[in-house]
Amino acid sequence: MSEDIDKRIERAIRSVASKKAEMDRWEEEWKERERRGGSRAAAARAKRADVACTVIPAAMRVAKPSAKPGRKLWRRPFFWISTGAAVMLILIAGISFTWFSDNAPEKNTYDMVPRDRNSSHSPLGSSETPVEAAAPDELEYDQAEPVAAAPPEAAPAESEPAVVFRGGSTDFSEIVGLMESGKPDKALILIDEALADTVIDPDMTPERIEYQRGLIADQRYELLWLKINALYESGRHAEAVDLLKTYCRTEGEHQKEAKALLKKIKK
Amino acid sequence: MARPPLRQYSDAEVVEAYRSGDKKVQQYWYDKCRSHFFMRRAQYKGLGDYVCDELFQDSFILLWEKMEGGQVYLLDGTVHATSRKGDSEVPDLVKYFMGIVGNKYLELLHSGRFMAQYNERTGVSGEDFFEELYWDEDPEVEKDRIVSQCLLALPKSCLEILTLFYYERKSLEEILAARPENNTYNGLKTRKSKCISNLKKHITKSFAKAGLR
Repeated sequence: MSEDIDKRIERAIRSVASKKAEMDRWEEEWKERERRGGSRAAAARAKRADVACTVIPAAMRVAKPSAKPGRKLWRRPFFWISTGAAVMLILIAGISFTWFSDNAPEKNTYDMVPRDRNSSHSPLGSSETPVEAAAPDELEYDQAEPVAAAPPEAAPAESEPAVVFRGGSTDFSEIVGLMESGKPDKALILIDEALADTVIDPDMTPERIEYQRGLIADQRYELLWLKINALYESGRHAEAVDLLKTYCRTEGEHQKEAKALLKKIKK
Repeated sequence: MARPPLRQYSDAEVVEAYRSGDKKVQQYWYDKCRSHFFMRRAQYKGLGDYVCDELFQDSFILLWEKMEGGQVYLLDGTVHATSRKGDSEVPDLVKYFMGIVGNKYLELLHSGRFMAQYNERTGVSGEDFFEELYWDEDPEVEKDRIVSQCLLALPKSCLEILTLFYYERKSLEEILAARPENNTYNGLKTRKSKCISNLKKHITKSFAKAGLR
């Protein structure tokens, strides 16, 4: 039977590999078409009157532009008030960013290993396509942008696993910013708020409710990883281990890193 | 200039294309299933995007094998499929594919590896989906199908190593050069050996579940 299985395995590998090679090519073309089609559909939707009302986890909320600019908008007082407020916000954001950039410690990645600046492994976030946030007017799930597949990881040396936080997602930019600025306690507050913010508008269609649930499940997976990192950085290792024990059993993008971190903490 | 509408192919043409190797129709079918799956992926709770994409890929490969192997076939111009309960017409091939996806999802939940709870899906026993996915009147074909799916369930690094070795016919030295994460020759050799060993265990267990020897 062993010889039989060996031959079946070889045959299966050849069959599966050839199919996957074709499918990878089709997948790339499909994603490209979806991206082009998604942007056209988003533009078309922006012209429609019924902009769907959705509830989005706090970490995902972005400023929503006005759906219908209309004519002679400049004559309306509200236009001037909102424009002025937007300009002020941009100025404040720009000043804060400049201040954080000047005061943040010098590092390119959020590195979970003892800060060995001579580490030779390349930062995971440097070449990876970030997960794209679904802006409020793109939450029709038949037009949602597909998530780009993560490229193969630059895995750590086998003797000392380098656990690297994969930052850079626009969804969690504030949380990531706080963690990279060495403020994991503040990041934890935002993470817990985001984890708790899962209310879905019951007036939505069943399909949209289902879509939102899926979205929330995806975000939860990422937020839990952020929380684990934040707890570790805060020195709350026991709480991090409690979360890691369940998290490591869950298949996903961060499973390998989670296992490495758990092993590291338990040493 | 407006793009001319893409040609639509019938289910019968799709099944024929997967037997004859017509790449254009095969890609058309892939796109159709992909879009259909993408619109409904929210119902596969507890899976992140990464695992959801794998769910789609594994299901698509399974359907591909069923069409290649003849379990899904044409009879008088209409699509039929064999099952343990007997042959029946498949009125909608996309729905048939989504049925495979649903069963693969149940298989994932049943494995206990994901956050979603198995008991959220009602009405299907632990054995039904396994039989639905893998049964074939020819036990040899059923075994091959199970082996393919066990292979797809391997960790990504294992699948990569085995593909490079058996499909691309690379030596271990060449694989070592292509995969910087494998630091040493002996480490790679051990890793490959463990991948095969785990795969065989999984296959033996699955054969036993299917009542095959």
